[in-house]
Amino acid sequence: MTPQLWLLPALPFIGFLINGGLALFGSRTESGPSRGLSGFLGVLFPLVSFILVVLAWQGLFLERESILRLNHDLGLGLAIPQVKPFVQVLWTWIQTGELNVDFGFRFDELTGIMLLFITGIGTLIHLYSVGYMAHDRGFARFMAYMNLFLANMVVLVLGNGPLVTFMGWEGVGLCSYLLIGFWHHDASNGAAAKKAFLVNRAGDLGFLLGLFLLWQILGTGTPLTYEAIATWFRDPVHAALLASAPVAALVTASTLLLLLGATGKSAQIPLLTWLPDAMAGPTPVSALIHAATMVTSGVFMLARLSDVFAHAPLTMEVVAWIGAATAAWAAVTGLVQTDIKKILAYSTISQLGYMFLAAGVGAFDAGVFHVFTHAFFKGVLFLGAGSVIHALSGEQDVRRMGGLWKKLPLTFAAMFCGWYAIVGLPFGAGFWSKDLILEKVLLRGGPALYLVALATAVITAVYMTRLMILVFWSKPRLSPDAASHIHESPLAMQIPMWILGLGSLVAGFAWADPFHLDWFSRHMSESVGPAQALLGAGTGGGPSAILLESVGVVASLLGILVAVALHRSGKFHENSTGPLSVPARAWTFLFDGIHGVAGIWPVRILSWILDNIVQPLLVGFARVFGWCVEMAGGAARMAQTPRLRWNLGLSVLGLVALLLLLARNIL
Amino acid sequence: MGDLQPIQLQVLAAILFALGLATVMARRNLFFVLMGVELMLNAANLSFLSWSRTMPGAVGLEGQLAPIFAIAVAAAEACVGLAMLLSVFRSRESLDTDAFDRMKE
Repeated sequence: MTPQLWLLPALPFIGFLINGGLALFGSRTESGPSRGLSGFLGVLFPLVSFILVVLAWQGLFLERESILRLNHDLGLGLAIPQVKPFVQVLWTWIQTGELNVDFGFRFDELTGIMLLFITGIGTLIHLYSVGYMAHDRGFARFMAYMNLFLANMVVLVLGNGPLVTFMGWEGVGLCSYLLIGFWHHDASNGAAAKKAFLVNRAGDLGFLLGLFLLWQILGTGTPLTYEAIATWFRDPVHAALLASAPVAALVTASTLLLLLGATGKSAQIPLLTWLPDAMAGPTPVSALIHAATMVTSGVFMLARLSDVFAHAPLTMEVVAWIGAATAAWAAVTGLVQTDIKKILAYSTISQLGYMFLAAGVGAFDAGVFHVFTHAFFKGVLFLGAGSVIHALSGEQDVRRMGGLWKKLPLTFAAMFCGWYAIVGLPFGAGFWSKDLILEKVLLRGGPALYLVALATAVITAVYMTRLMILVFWSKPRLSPDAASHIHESPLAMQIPMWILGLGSLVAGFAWADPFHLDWFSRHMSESVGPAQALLGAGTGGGPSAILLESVGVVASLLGILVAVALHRSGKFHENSTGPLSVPARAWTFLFDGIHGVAGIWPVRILSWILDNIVQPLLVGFARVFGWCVEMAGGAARMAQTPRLRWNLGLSVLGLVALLLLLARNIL
Repeated sequence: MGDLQPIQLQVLAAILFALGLATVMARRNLFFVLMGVELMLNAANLSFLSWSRTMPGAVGLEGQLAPIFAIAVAAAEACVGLAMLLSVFRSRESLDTDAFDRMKE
């Protein structure tokens, strides 16, 4: 029995419609729309969606479980069936002679895992928003956008083919734009929203072009669904075709373009400049969209199309190096930021780099595992940061915080869990996923990538410890105004933080090889297993996992010690107040500069040429052409005389001409 | 003098038709235009009659029937046409066809 998959995106969408209506009709009233009602509905619909995801997830294994139980209880030797994904085709979307696309959903294990944390963490962050945004006039509008985002994210993950995914892909981009610019009274927020939208558009173009090329490779007979694509690329019949030079080149081009799309959404080199600016949005938005869910969709896309990427070794190399370079660059940038949310933003970019690195060396499952654990610990870090900002009445500069662990013990405890996980101390979530990535990178990617990744792990520990020291541990440097209003956040904000904090401690046990826990990799094997097998086994050989994990922990401890030492020697300059130093600025805005030189200025020059040279030419041509038409029309109009006798005479002439013609044919 | 040959009648009908057409096209007075129309109608009637003589049996009879209808219609047409002519003259104070180059004023 297939569950009604369409309900999963439809429920948050209904929430969007209702909240949107409340926002529209309530905005005229004195007190604004009812916060209680829209907050309740805004959390309710994602929650129901989450419950349905859990039910569908259990349903996925119902058949296999019952067979296993029969085998166990009755001692039978029945064959254990494969887990069959739920597929629900809703309608025929595009029907032309060559391109036929059904609009449908597909719920398999990869989708299921993504959906579990998207709707689960999504619900928690909706709940958090109820507390965080409680004093905002645009509360209902905010909940409406958040619901719409969740609906689109579910479509992105649940789509049965790349085109349906693309629809969600664009939808989350729109919601990201709306939410970054949520406080649109400040023009700089609008500019940040526009930047995010435009940079993403560049990536989306890559996604679309890559998709067209992919369609060219598949041929018109293959429907554009993930199932068909995977089957096509896994089929040994096509191996010779894929090995031939032109097709191989086409696959490489297609995957590189798809990669461009992924880098746009996941803020990787070269399209990463928008994510730090996106922090202009309210903090729950940063947590949900720009840390836990939307930005991971690039990694999801790599895993979903892993069978295609596995046939493009060059692209895989590029993915790995992009990931490593982004991880290292963003980690260093995180060291010098002074805005608490900016630090976390660069941290997110850096962690996404790890995921790309894992995917690039052919460990898609490890990459998605990091997506999973990252959603917990980065979620709690952002929510904690939001709680701190809330407590300090909007202060975001870490140089004007300090000593907050006494004032905000609950927030501190939650953020400590997140910190513990992200630096990779033993048994935290990040410990399992990051060390797994490091291990795979060494086995499959070689020592160069491994060293970059390991160095990044050290830097990660440094900047995260710097954040914790400056916010919670060092001497208070609060402004008197902020210090007088300081208060712990309400329960609606605390509960999500506790749950996510707990999650960032235990989520890693979903895949902990030393304890023989492989829940995660087992469920990933159907989606990415064949691609990984094609790229070379590589679990065997190499140094033992325990040794590598020890190296990882040593790297974390080293980073923490370095941070403490730097703080002792006053290198964090926490008492200064000015803007970023010149080298720090140069490093931070490196890619903005590159965009300017490589992207924005060429476009400006091109548009100047178009505006001042091509446009006048076209206008002149249009004028001349229009003049010609006018003349011809004037000439033709002369026949249209208003004189009755002329009309009659001309009709008789015409009649005679016709008759003559007829007579000539007859005779 | 023998009987009238059908071809002679046809030529006569053609001449009458051409005269009627020429009247309609050449005269600017609406009154004469209507008279030209009458002439063309009767030229057609004459042509019908002369054809009916050359056709055998029932087909020939149809040739004689058509002019009777045409005459009836022509009478009605003359009636309506003259009435319209009067109405046009009242509104425009002119019977010059070249003055009627607007659909409405």
